[in-house]
Order: sequence, then C-alpha cells, then structure tokens
Amino acid sequence: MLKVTSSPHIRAQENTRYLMRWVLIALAPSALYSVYLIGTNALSVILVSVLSCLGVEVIWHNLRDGKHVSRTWWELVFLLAIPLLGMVPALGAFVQWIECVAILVVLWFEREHRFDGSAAVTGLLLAMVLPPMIPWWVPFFGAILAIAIGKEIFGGLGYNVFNPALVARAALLISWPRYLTAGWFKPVVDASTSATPLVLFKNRLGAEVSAVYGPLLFSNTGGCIGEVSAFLLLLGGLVLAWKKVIHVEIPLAYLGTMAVFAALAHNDPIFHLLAGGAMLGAWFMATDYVTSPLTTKGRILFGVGCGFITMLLRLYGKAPEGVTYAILFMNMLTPLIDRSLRPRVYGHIAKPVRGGK
Amino acid sequence: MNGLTGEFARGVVRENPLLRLMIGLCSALAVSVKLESSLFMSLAVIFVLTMSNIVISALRRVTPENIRIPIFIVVVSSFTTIVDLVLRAYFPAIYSRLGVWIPLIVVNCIILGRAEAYAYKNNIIRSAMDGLGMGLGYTLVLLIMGFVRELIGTGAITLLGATLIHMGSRFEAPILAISFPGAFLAFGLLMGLLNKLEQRQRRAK
Amino acid sequence: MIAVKGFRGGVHPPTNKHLTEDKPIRKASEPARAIVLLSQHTGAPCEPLVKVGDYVKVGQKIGDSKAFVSASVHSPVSGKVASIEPWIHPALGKKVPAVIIDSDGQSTLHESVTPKGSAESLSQEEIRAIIRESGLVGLGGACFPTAVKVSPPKGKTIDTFLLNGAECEPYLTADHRIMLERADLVVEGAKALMRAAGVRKGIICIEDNKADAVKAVERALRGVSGLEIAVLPTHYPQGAEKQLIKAVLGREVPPPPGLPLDVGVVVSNVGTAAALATTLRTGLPLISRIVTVTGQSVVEPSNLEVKIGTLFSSVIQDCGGLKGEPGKLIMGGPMMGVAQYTMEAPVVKGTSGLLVMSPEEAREEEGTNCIRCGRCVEACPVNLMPLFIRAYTEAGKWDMVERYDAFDCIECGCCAYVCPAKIPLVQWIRLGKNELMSRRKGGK
Ligand code: SF4
Ligand code: SF4
Repeated sequence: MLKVTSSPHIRAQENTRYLMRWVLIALAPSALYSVYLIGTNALSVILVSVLSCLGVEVIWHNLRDGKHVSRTWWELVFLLAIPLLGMVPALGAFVQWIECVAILVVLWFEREHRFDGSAAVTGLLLAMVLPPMIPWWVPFFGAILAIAIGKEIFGGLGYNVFNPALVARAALLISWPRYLTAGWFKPVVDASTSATPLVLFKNRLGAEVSAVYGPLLFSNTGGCIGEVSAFLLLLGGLVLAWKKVIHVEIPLAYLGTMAVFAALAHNDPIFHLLAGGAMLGAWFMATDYVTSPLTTKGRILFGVGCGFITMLLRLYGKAPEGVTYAILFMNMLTPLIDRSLRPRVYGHIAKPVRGGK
Repeated sequence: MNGLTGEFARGVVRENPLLRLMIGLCSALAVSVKLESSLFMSLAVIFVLTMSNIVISALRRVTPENIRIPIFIVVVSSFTTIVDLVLRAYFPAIYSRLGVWIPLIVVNCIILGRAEAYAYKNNIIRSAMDGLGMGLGYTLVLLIMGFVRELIGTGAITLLGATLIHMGSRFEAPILAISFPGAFLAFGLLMGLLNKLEQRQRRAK
Repeated sequence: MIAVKGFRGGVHPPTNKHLTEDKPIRKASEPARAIVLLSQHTGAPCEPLVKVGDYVKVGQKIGDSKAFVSASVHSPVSGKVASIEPWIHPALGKKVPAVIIDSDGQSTLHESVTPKGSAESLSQEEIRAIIRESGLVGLGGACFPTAVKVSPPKGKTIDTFLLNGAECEPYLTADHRIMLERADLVVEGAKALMRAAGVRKGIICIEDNKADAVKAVERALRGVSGLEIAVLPTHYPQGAEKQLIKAVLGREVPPPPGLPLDVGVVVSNVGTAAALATTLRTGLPLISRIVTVTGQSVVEPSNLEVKIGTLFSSVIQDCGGLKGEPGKLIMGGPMMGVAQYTMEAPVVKGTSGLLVMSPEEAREEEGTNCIRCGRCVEACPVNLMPLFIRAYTEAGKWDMVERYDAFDCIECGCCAYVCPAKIPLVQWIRLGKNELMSRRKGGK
C-alpha cells in the first residue's frame, strides 16, 4: 500500500515533547541545586507541583475526551480526598508524600495517555516561583489553578492567553498572601533578615544589597525556590538559546531594558538583573511560546515591555517584585502585537495595512 | 396563560440578564462578594424592575416617543428611591454595605434595557412577568455567586448576623474568591458551565 | 563571481544527495509501451494529432494546441498507436487523455528530426520557433512552456537571465549530474535561451554543495562572454524562482499574478537549457529527461535518462527494483513532490525524480496543538504566518485566509517541515486556497 499525503514528506526531528524536555533539562540544575541547599521542603514543593499538574492534565483530558470517564471520576475523588487525611494528627506531616504517591499511582493507571510535556514544565516553573517554606497544599492548588484555569479552560495547549504558571502564582498571591510573601529560603541563619534582597532594597537598605552579587549569582540569597542562583538560571537559559529552543530576542530585550532603566534611574543595573525573578522570568517565563509573540520584531517589543514594566513596578510599585505582573500584562498584549507587527510579505511593496480585525 | 409563563421563564435561563444578555454586570460582580448583600440587592432589583416595568408599560401609550428615556429614568428613580429609603430605615447595616450600588440601580442596564426593549412595547401583565422573570434570573446568578464566593473566600456563610455554615478553623480561605479577580473568575466559570450544560442538552436532543 | 545576497527564511533539511550524486547518468531501457499524456505542462492541454492504429516515429509530433500557453508532445518511440484513453497523471492525481503507443523496438527517427544549428547561427525568431516546436517546458517541475517564457509581451524588457542549477530539493541530483557531465550543453542551451529572450546578461546559479559541477561549468564557460556563475550557500528553497531572484539579484517579484518578467528576469532550469541544446544539435524534440531514482527502498539508486511516457514501475525496475514493501512513492523531491497512489503512472516532462520511502520513513508522527512557537513564521521564505492561515482555514473564516495572503504561498513546505506540533500546514493552506478560488469563481 502506497501512502498518499500532502507534501512535505520529511519533517524536522524536533517535536513538542522534545522542546518541553529541553526546558525541563535547562531548569534541572537550578531545581536540583535548590533542593540541595534547601532540602526536603523544596523537594516537596517541586514534586507536588509537577505531579499535580500532570494529574490535572490527565484527568481533564480524559473527561474532556470522554475516555475512561468513570475511572477518571474515581481518580479525581481519590486525589481530592487525600488532603483530608491532613486532619488525622499522626498523618499530618506526611500528607504531601502520600498525595505524591497517589498521583503516581493514578499516572500509572493512565500510562497510555500522551503527555506533551507542557504540564510538567508548567509544574516545575510554578514550583520555582513559590517560596520553599509553604504548606504543601499551596502548590497543590496552584497546580490545579495553573492547568485547569490557566490553560485547559481556554482550550488546552496553545490556546491560553496567559502563562499558566504565572496565572497560578498571581492567584495564589492574592489568595494566601501571607504564605507567598514569606517563607523565603534563608541561607544565613540570621533571624533579623527574613527578607529577600528585593525586599531589603524596597526598604531602602541599599547599602546592604550592593555587596550581594556573589550570593545572588551562586546561592545564598533569600527568595523563591527558583531564585537561589541566578548563575544556574542563566546557564539554563543559554542552553535553551544554544539548542534554539527559545528565541533569545525576548530575554535580551527584557534584561537589556531592565539594565537601561535601572541605570537611568540611578540604580545598580547588575543588582536588578540578578535579584528576584528577573533571570527566571526573562529566560523561562517570558519565552513561553504560547503566550509570546510570533515575529522577531514582536518579541523584541514584548521583551522591552516586560523589562519596562518590571522596573516600573520594582521602583515605583507597592510590592518589591514586578516580574509576574509585567509578564502577565505583556501576555495580554501578545495577540495585539501579533496582529499589528506582521512581517512584510515577499513582493508586497509596503507593509499590509490590512491586519486582523 | 402558557405565554405568560414563557415570558417569566425566559428571563431565568434562556435570556438570563447576566449570563446571557450580559447586562448589569458591574453591580452584580461587586455585590456578589457576600450572600447577604446578594440577597438584598436581588430583592431591590426585582422590586424596582417589576414595578417600573408595570408603570412604564401602563404609561406607554401616553409617553411621547422622543422623550421616553427621561421618563423611564424618572419612573425607575422613584422606585429606587423607595428602596433606598426603606433599606436605610430598616436595614442600616446592609444599606451601608451595599452603599452606592442601591442608588446606582437607576442606571442599571437591566432595568432600563427591559423598559426600552420590552415594557414600552407590551401590556402590563406581560411586562410584570418579564420583570419578575428577569429579576429572578438575576437573583439566581447572584445568589450562587454570593454563596460560593463567601463560602470559599471567608470559610463561612453569615446571614443577618447568624452564621449558617462554618468550614472550621483549619480552613484557610483563599482571598482570591472575595477579591475582584475572583468575581470575574466565578462569573466566567458560571457562564461556561451554563453553555456547557446547554450544549450537552442540545446534543442529547 | 557574483556576490550573493541570500533570502530570508527557509530551512536546511538533510540533503541525502550522497545516494546518487556520484552516479553517472545512464540510459534507461526502452519502454515497450509509451503513455504520452496530452497535458504535461502549465496551460491548455493538447489535442491528439494521431488516430488509433497510426504508425508514429520517434520525435513525431502527436499532440498540439493552438493556445499561446501550451507545449506540444512528441512520440518517444516508433510504433503503433494502441489507443487514446485517459491515464493517471502523476502530478494532478487524476486521469487525463493520453496517447498510448506500442513500440516496435526499431526507434525509427521521424523525418523532422534533423540538426537545427547553434545558438550563434540561428536568429531569435528561429530559436523561439524551435523551442515551440520541440515542446520544451521548464524541467524543474513547474512545466511552464519555455516558448512563452522567452517571448515577453511588448513593453517588458528583460535584463537578466538566471539559469537555475540550485537543485535545493533534498535527494535530487539530476541537475547536478547534467551540469557535471553535460556542461557544454548547458552553456550552449543557456546561450540559445538568452538569444531567444533577447537578454545579454546571464547568471548560472549553483548551490555550494555541488563544487564539482561548479568546476565543470566554469570550464565550459571559458571564452564565453555574458555568462557568469553565482555560487549560493545551500539553502532550501533556493531553487524556487522567486527566492532565487531574491538571493541572486535582491529583487522581489510582485505578488501573484506577478511574474519574474515584471522585475526584468527570466529564470530557466539547467535541464531545460541542456534539452534545448540537444534539440539544436540533433533535432530531437523533448522526448526524454533525466530522472533521479532514489530513496532507501531502491536497490540501486541512479540518475537515469528516461523516455517520457515510461511507467514508474518500469523505471524502478531499471534500478534493480525495491527492497521490501514501499511506504511512499513520491514524484519529485521530498519537500514539494507529489505522493503517488500507484506505480502505473507515466514519466512526464516534469518528473525530476522518483523517491521511494520505506514504510518507516513514511510514518507520520502524531502531533499536538499548535504551540505558537513561531517556527513556521520564521521558516516561511515568503514571510507568511502559516499558523494563522491554517487556523482561519479550519475555522472557515475565508476573508481572513485571504488577508493573511494565502495566495502568496509557494507551497515550499518549509513551515510544515519545521513545525514541532507536526501540523500539515501546507495541506491546510492548499485547502484554504482552493476554497478561496472556488468562492471567487462562484460568487464575485
Ligand atoms: S510551527 Fe507549528 S506549532 Fe509552531 S507556530 Fe507554526 S503551526 Fe504552530
Ligand atoms: S506558508 Fe507556503 S510559502 Fe510559507 S513556508 Fe509554508 S509552504 Fe512555504
């Protein structure tokens, strides 16, 4: 039997899973390093977040496609019931591990499901933007928010407007502010410093922060799980750029704008690039394909916008960090950018003025 | 009388003012933060909507075409003032919580919209039924949203000072539910749910 | 040497030319029966000039049309016309009328087959007439009648002639071998084409993965004025007319129905030039062409000189047959070629290659939703946004399909090649174009 399909008859090797796998690989050093530095707390946040995202995706897809419906309902009830075990005093401390195992069991039952890897990336990114010392159920609900509300409800992979991990972070931040703005990793055991460098900066303790490049680069600063080492994040970002997984225009425009803005505002540009979520945001969050523009020009504009808003929020906003909202805001503008910055089609004299509606 | 029940039922689901016509959203999103305020707001809207529908319908033959809108406003604001004064006199606590939303009923698009689109063209009984149905549709959505948002966002439901439900002290309520984003989220989910249910029903047919 | 400007977009698929690039061209065995389709070119189909039972000779014209945009067809063999009936067309995928001739094995030449002269000895009008009579079409695959191409309408001047030897399609090596083995024919043909079109300046464009061909052509060019070589970096789809013009001259052809003529350029394939030179020397019209038969599943991949009208199955038999079950049979290259559902289609003037893929190679990977990665936008040499054209086609929003310039798509396949979600973008775009076409015809 001869197969008849439309041309082209050969395809490049890269597929969606391959790209997602590389994002995971690039994030791995940072994640492992924070587990090494912080310990089981970081591990539990990462595991709960990643596994929950996978679990939510499987359950959602099954129910959506009408596959194994009754089995899936049972799985859903099963997974949602486990947190109630936390009520039992003797089990309270282990619930997160039980939940993880439970999700693994569910995933084993659903092993023929085709994962595209995007849920795992979302889960890991979500864990990276949470403080390590939080109750385990925060990442658990975060994962549900990220996958269900942040992604699947829009139509699934490729249809969401906002970066799901950041949607979840923003929602968690509103929901449980006291957990999300504390519980930072504290490397130096010093009761007086329970703040991140950016919080210190916000409180005009500038003198204290100028000497922190080293710690910012290689660990030992307060912050989220993903913020322990700007160096490892940069490394991961460069790997992605080298493997052509991400488009470098975005991080370059993002970080460049931040540096210029900081310098113009008489701030230390390098501090701003290394502190907080700038590296993670610029290399891993803003470069999310689905929620960033499609053309080079558009991506540069997107990066510049992200950097500009981040610095505006950092310097003049109420909260110390602005990466999350900057990226979410620019996500919102992405469809507009895509429609207005279309490339000039070959042979067309001027740029077509007839963009989308 | 079958026609009349139709007028009535239409407002509840098929042409639900909030979920379908998507009018009168601003006050709905704002007051649905609590079951109690939802309830009183709904009663106020039902009252003003039905009464003004009746009066506008009764006056429709003597209302000159080109100044009808000011006349509608006069009618609506009379009833709104009645509600405003009653609430202020008998339920001062609730009145203070609903605040500006009660006077703003005057410009609520549901009421003006029904006056223009329905009451001005139909007889009194039909208009009354339309007002009741639309009011009930509004009430239904508001109560669901108020219940869910208050329960999740505060962990308890209180009505007129009495605590009806309490989730226990270990429940850490996500503030998201009672914040503005939560209002949009709840509303969007409700709208999606209704569409989903209807789609399923249509497919079953 | 010409400074090359390059073009935006495009891809670099594995070329896989090693299978056949060192195989000299050899003659395929004579077909016992030739199936000559009467519509092998862009333009009006031919009317048969012979009847069932007629005896025809090699090179005898058996089909022609009065239309301006058309090209006649000739008998590749001598023998009796067995029938005139519809036969499967390998590019169109449907049946078109064909003259079927049973060969007597004698290969008796027709009386019209006599040497015509050389590029220098013939006038512009004479060369144009010879081109028209010999049924020459663009042999790169588009099959546009060459006679039309070299006769620009009044008012248009042509200043540059590009001879396309880029052969950017993976696997194909026919043009490569022609340039290497028949460089003198290529140069002679180029001169004749330039004379016919009235152009002084010609550029032979060759990709840098064919260094030996560049050398051979350089040698043949010694002492020839007006012709130069441009060596281009290997880059798909450089051989596409519009991209070649952009890459070599930096000019952009206006959107369809714009033609290279509009920017003063005529592009022709090296195979076409060589075929014209053969006609001038021997008088034989276009009755054979070079076909690259290749792929993992072919026992002995080769470059064959095949008579037009030979069945694919017999061509493949000539190359030692197949290893195991074939997965896909493609006429042309893997990027733009047409998948065949039968081996019983005949070689036509546009058959540049036959690629047989194994079932493994032909397996389609299951894809995902579009992840908006932007790779298709980056790869598109025409600067389209293929993902939007697909989405609007799927949604049936035809005005948007048009606004995103679906008609400018050259169907090069770059977008679908790079897509990580494995979306058959080209198929969607074609669907969109077809729908728009039928709407235009029906409605407005
Ligand atoms: S290459 Fe494929 S996945 Fe990427 S944007 Fe284009 S269509 Fe979407
Ligand atoms: S849209 Fe058309 S021209 Fe552009 S890459 Fe795809 S097939 Fe080629």
